[in-house]
Amino acid sequence: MIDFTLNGRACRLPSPPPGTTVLEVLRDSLGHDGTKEGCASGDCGACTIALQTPGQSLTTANACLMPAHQLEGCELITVEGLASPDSKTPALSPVQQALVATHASQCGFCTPGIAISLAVLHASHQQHVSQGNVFDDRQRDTLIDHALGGNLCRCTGYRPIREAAHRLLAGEFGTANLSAHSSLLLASVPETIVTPTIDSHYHRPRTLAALLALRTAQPDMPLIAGGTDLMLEHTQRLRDFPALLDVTQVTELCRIDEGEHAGQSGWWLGAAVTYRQLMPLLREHYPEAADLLNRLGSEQIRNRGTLGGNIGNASPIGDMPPLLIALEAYVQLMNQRGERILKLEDFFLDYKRTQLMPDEIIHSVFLPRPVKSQRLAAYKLSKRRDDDISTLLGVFAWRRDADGGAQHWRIAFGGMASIPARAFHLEALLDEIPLESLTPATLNRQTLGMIEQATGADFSPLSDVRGSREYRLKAASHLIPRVAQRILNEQAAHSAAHHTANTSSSQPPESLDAYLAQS
Amino acid sequence: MRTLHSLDSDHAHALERTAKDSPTGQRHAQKHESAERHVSGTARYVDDLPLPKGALHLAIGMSEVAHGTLDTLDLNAVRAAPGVVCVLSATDIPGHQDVGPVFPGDPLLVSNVISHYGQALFVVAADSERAARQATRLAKMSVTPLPITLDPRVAAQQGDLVRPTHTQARLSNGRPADLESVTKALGRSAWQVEGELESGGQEHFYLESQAALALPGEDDEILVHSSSQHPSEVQKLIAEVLGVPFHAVTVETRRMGGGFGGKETQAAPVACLAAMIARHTGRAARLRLPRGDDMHLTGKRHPFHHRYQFGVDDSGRVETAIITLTGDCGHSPDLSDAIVDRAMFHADNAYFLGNAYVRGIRARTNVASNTAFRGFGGPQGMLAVEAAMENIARQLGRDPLEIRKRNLYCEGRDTTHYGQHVNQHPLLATLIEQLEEEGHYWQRRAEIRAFNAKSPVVKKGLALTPVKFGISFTAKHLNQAGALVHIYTDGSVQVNHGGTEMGQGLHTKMIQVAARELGLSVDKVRITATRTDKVPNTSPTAASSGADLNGMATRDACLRLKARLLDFAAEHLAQPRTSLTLEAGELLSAGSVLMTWGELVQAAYIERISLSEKGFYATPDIHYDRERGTGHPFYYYAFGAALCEVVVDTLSGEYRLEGADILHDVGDSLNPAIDIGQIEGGFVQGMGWLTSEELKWNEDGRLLTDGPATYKIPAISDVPAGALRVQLLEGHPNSAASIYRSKAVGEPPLMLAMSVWAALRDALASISDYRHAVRLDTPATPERVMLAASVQREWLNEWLSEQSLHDQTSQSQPPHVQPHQVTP
Repeated sequence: MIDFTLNGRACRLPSPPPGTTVLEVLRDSLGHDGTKEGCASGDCGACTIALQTPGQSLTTANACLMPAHQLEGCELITVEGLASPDSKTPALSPVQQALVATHASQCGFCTPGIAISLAVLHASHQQHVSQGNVFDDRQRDTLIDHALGGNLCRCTGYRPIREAAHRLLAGEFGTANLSAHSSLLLASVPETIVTPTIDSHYHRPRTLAALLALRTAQPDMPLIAGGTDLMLEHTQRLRDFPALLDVTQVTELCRIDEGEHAGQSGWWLGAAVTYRQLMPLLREHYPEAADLLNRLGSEQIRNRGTLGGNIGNASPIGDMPPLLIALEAYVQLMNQRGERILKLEDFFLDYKRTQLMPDEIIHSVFLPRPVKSQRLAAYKLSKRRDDDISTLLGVFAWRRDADGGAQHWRIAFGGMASIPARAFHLEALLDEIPLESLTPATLNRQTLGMIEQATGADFSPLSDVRGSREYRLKAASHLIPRVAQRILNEQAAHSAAHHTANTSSSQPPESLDAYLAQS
Repeated sequence: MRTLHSLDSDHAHALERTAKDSPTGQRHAQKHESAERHVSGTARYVDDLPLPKGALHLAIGMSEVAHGTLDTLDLNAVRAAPGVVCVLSATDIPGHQDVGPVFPGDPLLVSNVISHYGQALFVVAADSERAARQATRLAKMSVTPLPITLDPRVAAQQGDLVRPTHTQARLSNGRPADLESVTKALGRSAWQVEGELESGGQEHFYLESQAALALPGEDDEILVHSSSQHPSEVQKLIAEVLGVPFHAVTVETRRMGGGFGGKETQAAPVACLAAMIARHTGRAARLRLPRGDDMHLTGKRHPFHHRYQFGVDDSGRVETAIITLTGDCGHSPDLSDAIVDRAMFHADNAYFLGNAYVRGIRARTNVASNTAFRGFGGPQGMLAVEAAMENIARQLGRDPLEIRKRNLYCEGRDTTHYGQHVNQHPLLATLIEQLEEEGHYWQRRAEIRAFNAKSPVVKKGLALTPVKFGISFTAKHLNQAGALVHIYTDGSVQVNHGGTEMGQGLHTKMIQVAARELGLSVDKVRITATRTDKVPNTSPTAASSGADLNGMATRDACLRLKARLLDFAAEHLAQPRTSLTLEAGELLSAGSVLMTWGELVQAAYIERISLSEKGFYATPDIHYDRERGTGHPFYYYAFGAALCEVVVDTLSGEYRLEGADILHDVGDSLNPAIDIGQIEGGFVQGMGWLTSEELKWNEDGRLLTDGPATYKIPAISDVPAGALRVQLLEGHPNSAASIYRSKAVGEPPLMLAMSVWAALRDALASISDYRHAVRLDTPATPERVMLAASVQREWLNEWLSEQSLHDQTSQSQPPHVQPHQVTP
């Protein structure tokens, strides 16, 4: 049985087969047809639900990728639960009123998902405001982009949806009532749903020991955390999982602890820590990494996907591994016999192949604390800015010397090889050639040739649906003048700040993002 | 950045006020009739309908080669799979095998030759969708491969066409022409501008995939719920496939979760398969395509190859144009004949071509049969001439806007290459000039030039492009519509018409038409699902024609009812007939209230006056002589213009829309909120087509971009806050007698997005200091933009070295380019 609350009503669901999704349960068993299936791959957001797990804040998720078994103990809110239950005829909630008033639905198929994403944004924004945080219009736009980046609409062009969001956040339609409402009827009598009971082989161990024992006993049983990648096996390749081993209830894997390793202080990040949970730490210590993380998947994915999953599935186009490799992270592996700690860059062997042994799990990742001179640039190139997988990702870490120059380069790329990997030749090149001769304006043919040669020595990328080999090699090479200009622009701004009061950036922007940040 | 006119919340508030000011909401920004249901999740789509007991779930078994003969198909393992109830293949089809909408070529299920990857071979019915889908993978088949063609130009060279080539040729003086005479004319111009271009296709990506639910009735009767833009054709094809008369089949469409042309013909096979299973098993049958299956099975917007030669005078005015458009039709004709025709009809966009020779080739390739998509070939047709406008500008050292303005249709240059006079053509100049002025084109141009001169990596681009789009089905017989209006004795009114609701707000507009004619508030009028047993023999909801055709038919029915009721009232109440009016739910005589609408209806009923009426409409004045390539195929034209600014990272190819000022002509708007919604949505969809939406097939003809993980439609951050600023052109009612002098709005705005593509090319031109126009195929992905930037830098390097050679021999002006910005 799975016990949870659905729109404030207690719900008890006989255990479905392990891979069954929340969307399948909602539509097929619970008769909640308001939540739509647009893609069943977590890319369109039509199935967006709101979820409150114990001890966590209200978040969105893609119902199409979430195993129904993870509903245990959760409060689930669907579009049917948005309207106010206070009056006898359900009155439209603020978010619904906002969408109607702005003509923000046309065909209406994406609308339930958009309403949920907006309702959760409204509630969290309200919470921030009540804590004294104030957002200007531009910051609200960023919040809106992040909240709705994973909700595709094919009809409206988004302008009215953004307007609905702004007017909602401005309080025009009243206060958010989502969380208050969801706990309203918690104590009501369980509603039993009759569906055939199947013996569940969905394992959710609560202790590390139990997890490791299960892993040793059944090494073929897939590990699942957020399910944002694995569940595609169920929905797209129609694989029936005989059993799943869910790591998300093991406290040790869900924690972020300060610690030390290899003589450095830093953090042990549990493998089941979600991107969302990682965000505040990155925002504080590695803001560029937080910006990158905001372009990983969508809000729905970031709420569920985990660090361990992104590393464990060993995709050559995952966004976390290049970042962590550039930051000299380590990975801690564990089985019943003990643990071992590897440099993350040594963990990946070949396409989708890692050092992880069949009875091992990824326990955590060690992320060193930045030294004061630490600098970072993460450049993700993709066909679409948000909710897209990297065509390539270049992460540059360096240390700023006393003169503002750069040294101790560590560069890692995703999308350039069968595994995420260091770019040793480019690192050497940056150590050797002065930045002044690497900028877009100063680069000559010979130097560009050297960069392209180094890129070619580091990587031999494939052509695929996201980009050609030619584009990948050229675009990766073009990140060198970008990062060089960035450092020189910082130097110039720094010395300008020292010497004159006028710090207006006379330097031309080195990238689209730099331009957008300036403007 | 300056803005023209923002449709921000102030404007939206104004829209709301108009809605409130007009208590009946008849002509104004009335909200979508399903808005509350959309936001509550209670709007039902086909997959949400409750199923009767024993309903079956279907899945399609698809081919895994792009071309070959299907020698054997062994479905034993499929039949034996758990949960499977019924498996049918081509031999089980009781009636017609072919479901081609206009011409044959689309087998419902392949019996002999497979002609694209993902083609339907058999259908499985099981007690769950998952069981059905899993079972499809167990089929065993042997296929003898045949050579595949994926490049439309290769197909055209081999003469492998789905339909014959069509030509439109006309001299600027109106005389008929041929290639020889036009080629001769081309040689007489001072300048020749030539080029070619490839434009990619586009997946519809309606959020609701194709779906149908078939419910068997008594004997041979069947009711099918279909997510279709064309219920009458679905009805016809089901009847033919089942071998039953049309009157045995009823098709119902309440709403679609998006259509965009993708459910004009592509919905029918899905409905036919569901109907076949329902007929065969006597059980309800539902087929809803998983996203990947939908993308493999159904056609897309036609990719095109464009080749153009323009003869231009010294002022940049086009004197002669030779344009060859090769449409990639996929494996069968489907609607390709009309689509390539429409591309040809729009090869001029908004410009007088002078001596013109336009040829449209319909190439056959081994991909899913490409089909209708918002614009129906029109957008593709316009790309060549818009590419040429910039090329001419760079060649002559003029601003592209100047060249575009110089070539707009105008007095004396007002007849298209197919001989239709362009009514209301002065609106083109009006739209462009208003945007030019209020959007501060020239000031922004100067600022952008200054910015670009100092910024080696990030470049800005600006473009102002017009749109002229012909309104009518080019298949003349489709320009008809019917409506059925019932008044019930409580005074409530039910309207039914032949159009379908796919989100475009057609039903809302039809409610407004009925409310206006009957003098009622919109809440008295309800639209019910489109059904073939209410209004028969309907045309597809397509060609932007939904409101034009069905609005007139609805109005016709309402006018008849109104006349009948007023005749009755005049007699019954002994009032002069001419003094009677219906307003705001009351019967008035010379302004004073005689009785309420409800009382009038009651009285009429008691006196045995019929309260139900049908309406009909056929568009007048349209004709096209296909033999001669001339005529008057369009009832009227809709116009628009867009001013776009983009910012491009020339080293990575990343870019962003900074702003789009749009001014669009909808005549007298039926509903400004809905019209603005169509303009915004069409623009962004067009931007997706031209920028991020890239379809890729592998060499075996398998579509690789078969889901939203790899096929990228615009997301919210691609339309930055404040970037989309739409204004309706006011004060210019349609010169044709359309419904309340409004204009069709479904398709024309999509083509406003050409300004995004033109602005990207403008940014790329800045690399050469605006000396050279670079070819930029679409979609202009970051990859294509970056590679085009590299081409521009190469061009500049060569130009500079030529100049320096030249400088050594003469004392010419040094180039206004910073020579160090050139390497990458």
